[in-house]
Amino acid sequence: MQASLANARRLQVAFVVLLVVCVAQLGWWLVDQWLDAAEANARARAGYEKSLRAARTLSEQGFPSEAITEMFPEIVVTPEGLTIDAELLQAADDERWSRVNQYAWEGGFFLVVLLAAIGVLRSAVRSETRLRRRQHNFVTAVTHELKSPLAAMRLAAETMVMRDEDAEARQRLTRRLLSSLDRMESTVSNVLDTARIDEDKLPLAPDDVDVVALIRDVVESMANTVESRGVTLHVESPDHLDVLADVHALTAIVRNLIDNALGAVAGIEQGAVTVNVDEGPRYATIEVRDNGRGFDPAVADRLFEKFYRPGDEMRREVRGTGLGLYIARYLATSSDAELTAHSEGPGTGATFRLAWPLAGS
Amino acid sequence: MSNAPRILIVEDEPALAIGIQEVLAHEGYSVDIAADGATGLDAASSGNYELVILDVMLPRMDGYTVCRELRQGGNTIPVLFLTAKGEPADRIRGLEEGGDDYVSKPFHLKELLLRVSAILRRHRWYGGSTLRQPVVRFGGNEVDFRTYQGRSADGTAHELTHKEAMILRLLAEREGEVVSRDDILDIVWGHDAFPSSRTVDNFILRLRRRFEEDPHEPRHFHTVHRVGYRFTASGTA
Repeated sequence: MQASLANARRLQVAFVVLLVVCVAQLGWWLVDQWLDAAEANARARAGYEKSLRAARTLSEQGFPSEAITEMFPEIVVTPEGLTIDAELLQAADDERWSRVNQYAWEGGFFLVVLLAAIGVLRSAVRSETRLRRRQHNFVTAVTHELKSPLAAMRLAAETMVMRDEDAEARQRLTRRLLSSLDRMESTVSNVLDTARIDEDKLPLAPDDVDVVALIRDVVESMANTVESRGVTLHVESPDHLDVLADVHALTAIVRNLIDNALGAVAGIEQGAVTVNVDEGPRYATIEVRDNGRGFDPAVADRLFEKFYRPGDEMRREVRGTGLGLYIARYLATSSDAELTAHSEGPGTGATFRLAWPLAGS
Repeated sequence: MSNAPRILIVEDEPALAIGIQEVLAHEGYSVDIAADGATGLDAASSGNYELVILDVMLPRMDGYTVCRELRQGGNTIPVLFLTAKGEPADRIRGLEEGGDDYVSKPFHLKELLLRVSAILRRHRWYGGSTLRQPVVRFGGNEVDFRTYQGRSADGTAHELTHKEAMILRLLAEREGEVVSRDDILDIVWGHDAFPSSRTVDNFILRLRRRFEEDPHEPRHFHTVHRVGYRFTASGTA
C-alpha cells in the first residue's frame, strides 16, 4: 500500500523531470537555430557586400551595367547606382524567421504529444493505484467479514459448552450462531461469485421464476439476522409474479440488495427495510427501500463498482466487502435487467430499483 | 472495591457485543456496550469503568484513535484490544497506542476471561499498592503514583508513562529485593503481550535516564546479572 503510493509519487517526479528536460531541450534548439540562422544571415550579407564592392570597382572601370549584373546576379542597378537586391536581403531575413518558426511549430507539436502521453500514463497509474487501494481495503474487509461472525459463532458455541444453559438461552445462542453463519455464507458466496465473474464462468440459465416466492424464500432465510439486529423487513407484493430469470442469479441479487439495506439501517433507531414488487407492462419492478444512512446522489453509480466501500476501512461505517452490489449489477445487466440506486442524500435512506423482464417477454 | 467491576465493550458487531456481555455478566462483571468509537470514547472517559474491551475497526472513530485520545487525556483505564486485525504489526500498534493487552478474533472464551481478570488484577494491584504508598522518594527524586508526576533531584519535572509507573511501583514495593524480569513482565504486562524481556530492560533504561544522576553508574536501579533488577531508595553503588 505504502509502496504503491511511493511508486506513484516517484512516477510523478519522473514525469515532471521528463517534461522539464524536453522543454529545456526544445528551448535550446530554438536558441541554437536562431543563432545559427543569424550567422548564416550575416555570412550571406557579407557575401553580398563583397559582390557589391567588386561590382562598384568594375563599374568605375567602365564595365557596362548589363555585364556586371550578369556576373553578380545579387546586384541590381538603380537610378542611385549599384545596390544589393532588396528581395534577396529580405529572403535572407525571412529564412532566419522561417527556421525558428519551423522548430517552434515542430517543438510545440512534440510537446503537445508528450503532454498527452503523460496524461494518459498518469491516469492509468492513478486508476491502478486506486484499484490497489481498494483491493487492500477489500482484503481488510473480507478479513473482518469472515473473522467477526466466526468469533461470534465460537463465542456462542463455547458459551453453550461452558455453561449449562436453559432451553430459552440455548435457543437464543443458537439463533445468534445461525445468524453469524448466514453472514459468513453470504460473504463466502460473494467472494466465489466474484471470482467466477472474473473468470467469466458464471453461466446463466434463464427460466420462468416466481419472483415473489423467491423473495419470500430469501427473506425467510434472513429471519435470524433480521431478528438479532432488531430491524423490520416487510415485503409488499402481488401473490405471485413470473419473470424470466436465472434463479441463482436473481436470488443472489435479492439477497445482496436486502443485505445491503440491512447494513444501511445498522445502528439506526427503528430501522426498516421494505421490498416492493410491482408488475409493469414488460418489466417487473422490484424495489428495496430502507430508512438508513443513504448516500450522496453523486456516488450512485460508484456504489456498483467492484470493491467500492465508502470511507476508510479502519472506520468501518458500513459492513460488507464491497462486492454485493457489484455482483448484483453485473448479474442484472447480464440478465437484460436494470439495477439503479437512488437516495436524496446522506441520512435520508435509499432505494435500489430493479427492472426485470417479465416471463414470456 | 466490593462492587462488581464495570466493563465497557466498544464493538459494532451486535452478536459479538451481546455475547461477550452475557458471558462477562455471568462471571459477575457489570457490562455496558458502545456500538461506535466516538460513543465508546465518551463512555470510557466518564470514569465509570475499570476496563475497556475495544474493537479496532469501528464506525465514527477507530479503536487506535479512541485509545490514543484516552491516554492523551491522561486516562489510564486499562484497554484490551479485541479485533480481527491479528498481524504482529497490528498488535504492536495497539500496544504503542497505550493498549494493555491484545486478543485477536476469533478468540477462545476462556482466554478472553483469563485476560480480563489478569488485567483487572494488575490494575487493582497498582491501585491498592498506590493507596498504601502514594508517593515514593529516593535520592532527592520523587514520584507520585496517583498522578504519574515525578521530579528528579535536579528539579526537572517528569511525566511517567503508565508502564514506567507500574515498574517503579513494583520495584519500590519490593525495595531491596531482586525482582526477576519474568515477574516484571507477568505483573506489569501479563505474560505474552510482549515477545521479549528486552522490553523490561528498555524501560529500566528510561527510568535510569529520568532519575539517576549518572545512568551508567546507577545508585537506585541495580541490574542483578541474569536475573532482574533491585531497587534501593537510599542509593547504594
